[in-house]
Amino acid sequence: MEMNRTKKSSWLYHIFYETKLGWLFSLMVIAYVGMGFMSFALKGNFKYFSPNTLQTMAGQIPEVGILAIGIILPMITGGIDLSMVGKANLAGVVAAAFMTSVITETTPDSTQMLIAIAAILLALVVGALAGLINGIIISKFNAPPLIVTLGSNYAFMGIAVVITQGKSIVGLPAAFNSLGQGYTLGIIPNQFVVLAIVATVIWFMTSKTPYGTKLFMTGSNMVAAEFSGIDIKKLLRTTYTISGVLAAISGCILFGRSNQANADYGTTYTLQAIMIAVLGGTSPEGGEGNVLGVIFAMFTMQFLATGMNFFQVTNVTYLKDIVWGGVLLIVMVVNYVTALRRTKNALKKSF
Amino acid sequence: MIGKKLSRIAKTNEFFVLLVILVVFFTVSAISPVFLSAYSLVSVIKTAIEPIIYAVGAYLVILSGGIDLTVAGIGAFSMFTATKIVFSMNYEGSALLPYLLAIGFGAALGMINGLLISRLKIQPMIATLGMNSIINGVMLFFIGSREISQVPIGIQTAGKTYVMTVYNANGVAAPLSTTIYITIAVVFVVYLLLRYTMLGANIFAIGGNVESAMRAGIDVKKTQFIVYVLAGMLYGLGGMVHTITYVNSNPMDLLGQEMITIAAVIIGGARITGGHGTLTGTVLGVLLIQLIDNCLNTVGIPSFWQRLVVGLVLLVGTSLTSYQALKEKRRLHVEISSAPISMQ
Repeated sequence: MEMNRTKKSSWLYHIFYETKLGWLFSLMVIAYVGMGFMSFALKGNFKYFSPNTLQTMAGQIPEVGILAIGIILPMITGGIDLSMVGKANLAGVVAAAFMTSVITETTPDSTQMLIAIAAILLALVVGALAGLINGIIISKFNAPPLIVTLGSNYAFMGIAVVITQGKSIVGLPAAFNSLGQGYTLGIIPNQFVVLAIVATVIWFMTSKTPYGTKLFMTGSNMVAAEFSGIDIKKLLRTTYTISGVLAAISGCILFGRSNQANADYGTTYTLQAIMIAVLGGTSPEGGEGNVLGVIFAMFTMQFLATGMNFFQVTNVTYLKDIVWGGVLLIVMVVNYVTALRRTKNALKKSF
Repeated sequence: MIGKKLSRIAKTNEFFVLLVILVVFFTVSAISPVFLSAYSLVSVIKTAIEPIIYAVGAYLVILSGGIDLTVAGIGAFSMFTATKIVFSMNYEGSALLPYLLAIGFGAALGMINGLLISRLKIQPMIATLGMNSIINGVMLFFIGSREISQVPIGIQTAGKTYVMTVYNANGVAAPLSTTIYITIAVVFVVYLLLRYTMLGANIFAIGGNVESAMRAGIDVKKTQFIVYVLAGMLYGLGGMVHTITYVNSNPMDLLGQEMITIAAVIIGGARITGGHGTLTGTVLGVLLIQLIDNCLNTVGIPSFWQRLVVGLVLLVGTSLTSYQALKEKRRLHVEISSAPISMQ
């Protein structure tokens, strides 16, 4: 019994203290409770805490959340991926174009289901290819990821716009839309289940596999990693391909939820995803980042956003921009100050 | 001697961009002969007036080894707030006051960027990402989100004074606004700053290598701070030029401008890691993007192809310059297996 407890506490200790996630977790809880009480103070009811609100939030998180998880992998290698939305839209548009060209009104439901699955697979392949192109250019030509993905974002979105001719593709089959509109077991939004699966898989990959070890090694010191025999080029290709697949998943959810495919959708999501990733403890300089932190960060952002919806002010989306940007900057400043103090203390101790 | 000089010029990135510009221009002229006219030339230059000002600001930041995602945020905030202020005080003077106000707002916001980056050591990308979100939010939430189409008389007159007006075959006018003088002045002043002042040398130095710059006794913090303030002023000025050119102030107009501005600077040959790149290249980069935009319309390609073409130009451009840098490194007998792959 005693043994068991120490073991358990050390596990918790590891997650919340050593990985510095404790305060991120607290931030999330503070955001949830704080926004709840603020909405109570303003409106006099506890609607914010109702299961209904939770369900809505669970339905809204995944689109950006999956993009954020997809963006941390390149960020851990010291790069970045600005083409997440471009890939997501391209994959989603290809899937939508495929479905609308194959499905007619007389197509039975069972066939529609199969076509929707095929379309999702097609989207994943498109996303993977798009990511691979990024990876090849970055690793082969030694080109800066920021610029490569900035360019490829234009290119992917451009291809998507050319496919749609600048219009929206409407009338997607119900089987496809259920990805963004249906509920598992009648309560949990399907997309939230997808997010949970994606998060688990990526968490496993980054913390339990050789790939993850190589990823962090490359990010913290590329020269050392190369000397220790890691095939950096291959690693970069793999990393950008995975982030492409995740973008494609997010694209399918986005278009499934809105029941239409539009090449211009969600252009602000890239910066939001980076914001969540950084808030979650991912360092843009590489070598640091973890999935759990990103999950806490995306919940924090969503709690703040939903809470503000209860304030009943006009133009609440703009207020959200202020709060999100402010939280990001405050967190970065706090990080800097605590790191500074830690170094100072360590220096004091050593003398 | 001259041959050597010429061959050195021919190897520069600016020459390459200029070549691409000429090739695009004459290819399009060959496809549709109407394009080869003063009208199209003025149309391209006219659309480049405002983006060049932003690009010069972004160029300074990139040169110093940073990056600035607040281009659109500061530009829109400055122009909209300045217009709103002069509008609400029923100002009837010249456009000078709105200009000064916009530059002032730009400088103030650039100062915040500079403080966050130089004092609090937040990575430029993260700091400006957060700032852009806040600036946009503050503008749209507190100051207003509806466009001001009835701009004060001073702005109207400034917007309607032209250097010259040329017409195409159908009699459609392409007036060249006097705001082009502002762009020329900006480019000239920044050229002098980089070429002849200590500050200019410092900007190059901290972009090349922060560590060595510090060892050489350069005040890195101060230089960084000044760079972001200057950039902010230029974005503010660019924003006001936008309002004056279109005789209308819409806070949503500049959305996404930061990315296309960075793209232009990079196409012009500046290295994202800092310390490399010329002002000429930046101006040519903007001209190339505007030319592509104009040409696609002329040749009859729908505008939705524009993004794809800009993306491809950027991809090919970066791949080429990076590949050249890689080859140069190899030539310098740096063992490539040990050379770090430069990130960002």
